[in-house]
This record gives sequence, structure tokens and C-alpha cells, in this order.
Amino acid sequence: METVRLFPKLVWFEAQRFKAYPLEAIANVLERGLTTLLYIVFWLIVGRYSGNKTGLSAKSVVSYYLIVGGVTPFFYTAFGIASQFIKLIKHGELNQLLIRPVNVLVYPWAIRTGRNAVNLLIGAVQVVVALLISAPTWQLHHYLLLLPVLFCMFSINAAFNMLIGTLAFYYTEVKGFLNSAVHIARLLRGELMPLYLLPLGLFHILQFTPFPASLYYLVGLLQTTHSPSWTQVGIGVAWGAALLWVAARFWAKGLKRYEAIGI
Amino acid sequence: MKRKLLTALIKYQWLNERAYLGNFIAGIASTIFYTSAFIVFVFLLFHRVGTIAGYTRNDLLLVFFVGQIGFFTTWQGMAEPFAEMIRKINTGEFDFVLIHPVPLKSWVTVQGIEPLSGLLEVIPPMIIISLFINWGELHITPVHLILAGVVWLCSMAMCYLILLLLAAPAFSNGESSELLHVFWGMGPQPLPYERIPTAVKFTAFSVLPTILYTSVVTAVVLGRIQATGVVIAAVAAGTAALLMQRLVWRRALRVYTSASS
Repeated sequence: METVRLFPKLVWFEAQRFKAYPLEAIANVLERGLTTLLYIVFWLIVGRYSGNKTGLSAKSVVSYYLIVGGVTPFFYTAFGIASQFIKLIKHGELNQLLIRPVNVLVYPWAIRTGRNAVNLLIGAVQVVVALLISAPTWQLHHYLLLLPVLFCMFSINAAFNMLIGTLAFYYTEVKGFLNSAVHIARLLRGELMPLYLLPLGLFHILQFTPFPASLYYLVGLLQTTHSPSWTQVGIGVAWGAALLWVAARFWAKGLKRYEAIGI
Repeated sequence: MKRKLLTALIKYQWLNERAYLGNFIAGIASTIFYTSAFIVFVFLLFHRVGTIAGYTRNDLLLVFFVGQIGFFTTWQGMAEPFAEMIRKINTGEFDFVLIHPVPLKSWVTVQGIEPLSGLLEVIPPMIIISLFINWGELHITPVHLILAGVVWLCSMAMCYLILLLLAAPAFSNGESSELLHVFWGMGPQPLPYERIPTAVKFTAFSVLPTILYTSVVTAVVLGRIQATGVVIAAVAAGTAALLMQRLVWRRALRVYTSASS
């Protein structure tokens, strides 16, 4: 209960940095805007001028990348929480947390959410704009799928963040591994290209991995054009639950190794 | 004397990198994974689309190759040094630099360069990309190569100015790290230059020089566009950038009021 009460306070405290440095907030908007713009330009060119027919329309491309860019900060798909864990462990800041009445696992989420405040706001706007552009026709099964798909995305990304962050107990220079993981995950979860453009065989294999459920299914569901099947979501839910369990065990085991500063 | 100081600074950076070997190996792994992921992406994409705006897979890999040269140069030679400068302004260390007999601009460039990882993080991914390019298929002439080199140099001058403009608020506010990140939002995206919308094309010669060092340079190398006009525009933009960066430096230092400014 105490954690629930502290969480919004920590978030708000961290979000105050934009008051001190308002230019940084503008910078966030600019960076995300530019990234999205260049992605969209690339895919519009692919859609319009590719040799074979891809079935990519301007509307679907623009909304796809707006949704991708919009939802990623909510689920820390770039492993920002893992990065926060690594920092806490590597610099010995974890010591201070362990002696405070704060949940050590929740604290990095709160800190990162506060720092991400502007990104979250823009992300929400991006998703709304994307939905207005693509004007999806939602049916009952889309609504029913929403909750399990959100669970998949949250649990898989949370577990990935925890697993990578926990590695810092064993090896403090894990930041490079984190970056490598981001690059691979971006390709496999449909951030670089929509997964429906992959060769069918490869996509079939991918659906048995946790990656599509960690982003692609939610984007497909929101667009409704490539919404996942119940079987695919079921596999995602199983991955999410299993990975969370493994991550929690790994964290508990890693914490026992922690010897404060100088590990 | 100045050269001695800057050499000593590079030597210090070298020793610093060797002390943190884990970081260094992880950095190399990260760039290799990024490159590999992107090459897989290109192969998968072209398996589906065949060609994009007349660009074959081989052509697009060249766009990626050229883009990575520009990216690594701006990252290691400009963005990292500016990030380090901002950190030093923020913590007050920058004051100590100003009172030392070191040429400021050279110091800013040299203090952020990591010679060992700089080379080893760049060379393996570049070799990997070049292995996937069929160089014999590309019709590159020496003239096109020279013209592309000129455009590339101009794009670097423009990138320097953009990064300086993004870093400069630190002199008055004490912080502009996020602002510097805006540069990474600019790409490099492997766009076939001929099909870029006109409005975006214009930005290549102004606020988005990443397009210049990626798409325009490749289009010139491959002889896909009339190089004369592009080279003239790039030289004009590059010269303007060189002149402007002097003004920005002067103004930034004038407003700087030391630590915790």
C-alpha cells in the first residue's frame, strides 16, 4: 500500500526536471517527431515505389509508425528500466534504496516514468492521431483481445527489463549487452518493419517467440487490420507469465550476490 | 605546447578505455548487433518488395554503408565530445578548461574521442556491411566519388553546426543533453534521394544534414542525380555552416557565466 502511495509522488518529483530545463521537454518532442517523420517517409517510399506490390497504403504506414512510436515509451521497450537498474547497481545507489521503505523493484519504474513524462504525453497523442487516421472498425473480439494483449506487452517487456537489469549483479558493464538486445528486439517485434511483410515461414516461427507479443500484436490490434488470433495471444500470455516468474527468481538470486559498492 | 597537451589528452583517453575493457567489448558487440539486425532487415524487406524506387538491395546496402560512415564520424568525432562538454559545464569542470592554455575547440573535440573503441566499434560493422555489398555491380566513377566526397565534407560541417547549436544552450542553462539527443532523431535513414518529397529534400541542405551524408552522397556516388546542382548547394550550405559555427561559439562563450550558470 505504501508503495502505491509513494509511486505517483516519485513520478511527480522526477517529472519536475522539465520545470528546471523546459528546453529538454521541447527536445523530447523534436526528437520523437523527427524519428517518426523519417520512418514514415521511408515506408511511404516503400509503399509507393516498390517493385512488387506490398499492399502498404499511406494511411496504414503512417498510423503503424505513429502507434509504434506512441506505445513504446509506456512499456519501456528500449529497456529504460533495465538501464535504471544497471545504474543503481553499478554506482552502488541500490544501498540507499535497500535501507529505505521503498520497493526496490518499483522505484526504477517510478523514476523512469517521471523522466519519461513528456514522452508519455506525446505517445498518447500519437496513438490518438493514429487511430483518427486509420479509423479502425472495432468489433467485439477486438475489445475482448485488448486486455490479454496489453498484459502480454506489459509482462514481456517488464520481464526483459528485469532480466537485463539483474545481469548487472553478475557483470556491471552490461550496458552494451542491453544495446545489443534492443537492436535485435526492434527487428523481431516489428519496430523496424511491420511483421506482416516478413516471409510467411519466418513469421510462423516468430509467433512462438515472445517478440511479436511484446509490441506487434498491440499495434495490429489497434489498427484492426492485422489483429492477432486467440492462439497467438495465448502463446504471448504464456510467455509473459513464464518470463515474469523467471525474472522475479533471477532478481531474488541476483540480489543475494549484491555486496554494495565495489562488487 | 598545444599539440603536446592534446596528445596527452588522447593518451589519457586511451588508458581510460583500456581500464574499462568490459565497456569496450560491449560497445563493439552493440554496433555489430545493430549492423547485423539492419542487414537482416534489408534482406527481408527486399525479399518482399524486389526494388524500392529503382534501388536494388545492393544499392540500399550502399546507402546504409555510406550512412554509417557519416553516423560514426558524427557520433565519435562530434556528438560524444559535445555530450562530454555539456557534462563538464553541468558539473562545473568546464571552468578549469577555460583557465588552461588549451585551444578550446580542439579540446572539445579531443576530450570526447575514444581512440581505441572509436576505431574498433567502427571497423568491424563497416567490414560486415561491405562484405554484403557486391561492389562490382556498382558503377562508381572517380569523378562521382570525388564529388560525393565534397558533398560529404559539407554535410559534416553542417552536422557540426547543428550539434553545436543543440549543445550551446548548456552555456546559458547548464544543461542541454536531451537537446543534443535530437540529433539522433535525425537518422540516418536509408532513403532513396530521388523519391524523397521535395519539402524533405530541402531540409537535407538545411536542418537535416543526415539526409545529405546518407542519401545525397549515395545518389551522387551512383550517378543517379545531376551532381552539379547538388554539389553547388552543398558547398554553399557547408560554407555557411562553417561561418556560422564561429559566431555560435563566440556567442556561447560570451553568455557563459561559469559553473552552475
